[in-house]
Amino acid sequence: MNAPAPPSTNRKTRIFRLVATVFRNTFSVALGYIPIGFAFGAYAVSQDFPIWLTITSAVVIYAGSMEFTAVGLISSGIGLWQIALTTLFINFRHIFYGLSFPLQQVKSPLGRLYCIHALTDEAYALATSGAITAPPKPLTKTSTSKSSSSLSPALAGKEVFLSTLFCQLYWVSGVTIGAIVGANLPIDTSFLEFALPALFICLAIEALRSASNYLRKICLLALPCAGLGLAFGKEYMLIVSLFSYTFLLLLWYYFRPEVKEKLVPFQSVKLSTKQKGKR
Amino acid sequence: MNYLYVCLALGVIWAVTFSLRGVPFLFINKLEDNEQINFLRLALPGGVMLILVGYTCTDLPAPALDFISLQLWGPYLLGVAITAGLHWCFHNPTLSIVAGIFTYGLSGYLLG
Repeated sequence: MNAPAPPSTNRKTRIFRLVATVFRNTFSVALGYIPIGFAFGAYAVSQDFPIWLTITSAVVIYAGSMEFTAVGLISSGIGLWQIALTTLFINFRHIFYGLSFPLQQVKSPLGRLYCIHALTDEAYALATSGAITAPPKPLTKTSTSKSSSSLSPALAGKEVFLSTLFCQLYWVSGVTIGAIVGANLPIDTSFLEFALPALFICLAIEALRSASNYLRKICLLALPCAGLGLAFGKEYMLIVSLFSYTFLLLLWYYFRPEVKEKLVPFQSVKLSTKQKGKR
Repeated sequence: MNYLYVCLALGVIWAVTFSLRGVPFLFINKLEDNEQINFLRLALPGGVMLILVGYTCTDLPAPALDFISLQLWGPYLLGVAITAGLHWCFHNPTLSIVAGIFTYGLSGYLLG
């Protein structure tokens, strides 16, 4: 499954294989999204949202914690400016994701617009953790880089698009089931919320495993940043943590002379997939 | 419920979110060969995910953040430890996530 299908294989088999690969790669997100979506659906219905509106909001505002917040804001009838400002603060972190999301691999303009619309924490994590365009089993550095360069760019683009689409489908189906069940029988589903941290733990471990020793050490700089963010309270946590982490990374880049030589092999691997040989 | 207001509110939230997600891509072509951006591109994901683990452990709607109460922190700590431990050893997301949710739910029930 690591190598792209030979051109002689017929179209149906190729599509089937692509869908199967994407399904396997996104399965961990389904495990997180379906229970959380269920919890969201049940919650929104309990706040007097009709079922159709709950589902619509899952399609239109596809942004995890912002969706829970939106239900509260809308049912309190707060002004639109305040809604805009709250959204800006809660979703500000997404401005960082564009820096490393592989959007350039998606070729169709509509597909790109959709990927921007659906660029959630999980879609970002999935696309950058090496879960896409990487074989599921061996997770040594060399095998990951080999497989990502052996994939044809077109296939990788379709994989990125389909994975993003599948994630929202999981989310919407979880929300739909939750809204229908929640409207009919009141049950306590609050423990399902742990699905989200559990999902990020798995994705963080994947990301750290596929990184080099040097890069892994740098990523640990995020821990004090998370602590600093926590000290500001949860409304500001992500903004504070992400800004301080980005700031620390920039400081590291400018004040550690060894950084360029340590990262050269990575850069050439990354760039070779885009046919951009450096020097 | 005033559906015009609801539609406008959903529209506003969508527009702000889409702009935030889309803005970096307007500049990314110019930044393609920028070494500093490439460094960020490599180093951001791992750290961002660690931050998101911390964030999702405190941003859940149900419990308030309370540094003293073991009742609130116990289930999180146990859940995180089980999920991370299992994932590190067996590398199976299904197992780690299901076991994590189960540990969190059960310990919350027992401690609460």
